[in-house]
Amino acid sequence: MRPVPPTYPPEHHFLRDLALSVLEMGTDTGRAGMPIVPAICGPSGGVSAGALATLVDVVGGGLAARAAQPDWIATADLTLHIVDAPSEGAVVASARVLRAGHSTVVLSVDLDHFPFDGGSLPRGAFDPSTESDGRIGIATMTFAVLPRREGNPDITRFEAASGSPSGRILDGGGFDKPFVQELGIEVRDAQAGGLEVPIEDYVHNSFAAMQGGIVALVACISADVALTEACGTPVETRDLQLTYLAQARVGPVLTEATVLSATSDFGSARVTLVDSGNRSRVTATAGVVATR
Amino acid sequence: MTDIGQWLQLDLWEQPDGVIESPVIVGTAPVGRHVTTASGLLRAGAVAALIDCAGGLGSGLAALPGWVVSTNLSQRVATLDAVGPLAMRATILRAGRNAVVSAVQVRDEGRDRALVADGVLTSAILEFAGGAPKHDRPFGMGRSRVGADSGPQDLGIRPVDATSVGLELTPDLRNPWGILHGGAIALLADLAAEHAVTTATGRPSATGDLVVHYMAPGRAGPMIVATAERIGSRPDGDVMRVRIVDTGADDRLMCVAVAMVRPE
Repeated sequence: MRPVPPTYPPEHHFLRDLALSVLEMGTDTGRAGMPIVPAICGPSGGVSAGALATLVDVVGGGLAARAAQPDWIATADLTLHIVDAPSEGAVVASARVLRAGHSTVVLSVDLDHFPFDGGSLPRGAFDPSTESDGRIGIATMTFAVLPRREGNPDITRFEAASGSPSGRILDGGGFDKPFVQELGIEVRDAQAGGLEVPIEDYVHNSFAAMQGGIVALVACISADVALTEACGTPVETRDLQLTYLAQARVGPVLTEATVLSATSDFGSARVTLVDSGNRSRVTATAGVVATR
Repeated sequence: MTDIGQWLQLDLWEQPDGVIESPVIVGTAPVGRHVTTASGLLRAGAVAALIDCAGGLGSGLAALPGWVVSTNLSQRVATLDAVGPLAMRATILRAGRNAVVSAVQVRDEGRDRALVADGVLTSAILEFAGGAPKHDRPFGMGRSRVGADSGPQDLGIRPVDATSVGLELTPDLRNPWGILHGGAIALLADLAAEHAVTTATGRPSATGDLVVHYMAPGRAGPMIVATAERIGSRPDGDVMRVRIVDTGADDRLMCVAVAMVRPE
């Protein structure tokens, strides 16, 4: 297991391009937000499930790591349910610990939309005191609590070096193109949800494997591609149930989607992700519902 | 009163040619009035209970000499219009030191094995005092049958108010460690979500997809209460969040579930 690099995420990283702002991070609750920009929106123009899942993973992982101290954590599952997908403003994920036991930490996350005058939010300028105009989704995450081992990050030392997480803005260069292209996602077989995704520094977590939120994002894109074919109309992920089985370390990650049901309005699929460079190890399985 | 396996009229057995560390569990259950809504659709919570039973058994055998408790169950529904009998197949996706993940598919034997639901069950491995249940391998389990095709009321599930349903924690509904069975909890979540939507809209409705997070055992009772809250609506239904508490343990939060509820 590699130690946490001195600065994570590195200068050029997906999380920085999302311009995530950590608004609050304690041991029971945590909040993070991000602006909604066209590059993270889907074909319908609303913020994509993959971007929201990444936000959930960041705030959830940060909070769970604190709740589990002095032990360490591994993400077990992430579920996401979206009821609205706004096209501008900002979204804030508010996480709270439902259970912090000796074997698992369970979190719930509420996703709220914050509109702003003038359209898109200036990068890094999120104002957490603004009134929300409504809930756009909910999420849950479960983490396995693991005995601390050498090489596990020490959050207190990490924060001592990089400053308190509250108020931190992961600001980067922003997206030059839609995030699917930024991530290098190639569609190999649309009907089967077949994607090929490279594992590079841009998508790494602190252990040089694919970051958990990006794993979720890839599952969403795979399902969207397959279900758009099956439904005969563009559909986008609204529900995600992701179970993490192993870290994807080598790549490229390959996906396969099995359509479970499809109508002209919505469909559901089971998605499997494998690390093709690591004996095609299955790294995650996801259930997805996508709607128009 | 009856236990959840009897209520489901469930038969489960381990495939004899399976790998001892990675067992494959198959099973059958009939489709009757006890597991269907007034309009004849399968109850999603009953399907989730089948997934919990089949996946839990396979995970438990994979965890020996430890045993397992369910921590997370997710279920995607392909169709609830089934004639039965239902056929379950559970396989192990991952068996680690602390957790086992199993995949379970439920199919309709009466409709050319059409897919009914696809589920994933995650279980935590625990070392129980007194050890794991003793099983011969390959394992087989048949249940005595309930006399009538009775509904969830036969499990002691009743409406409490406009958004809540309750279950009386009887000895039959406890597992060998004295806690409420995970399948009964999933069924309770389904019924709370359906009850809240039906009460609010005045129209019959039914749960489809279901996610259940098990957080603490239901041990005290006598009443376990599930309360549903509407998060929002989509073209495919209402998104309902359900919280289940053990009233005899200072309303300790046992479970959080999310259910999709659609008009029937």
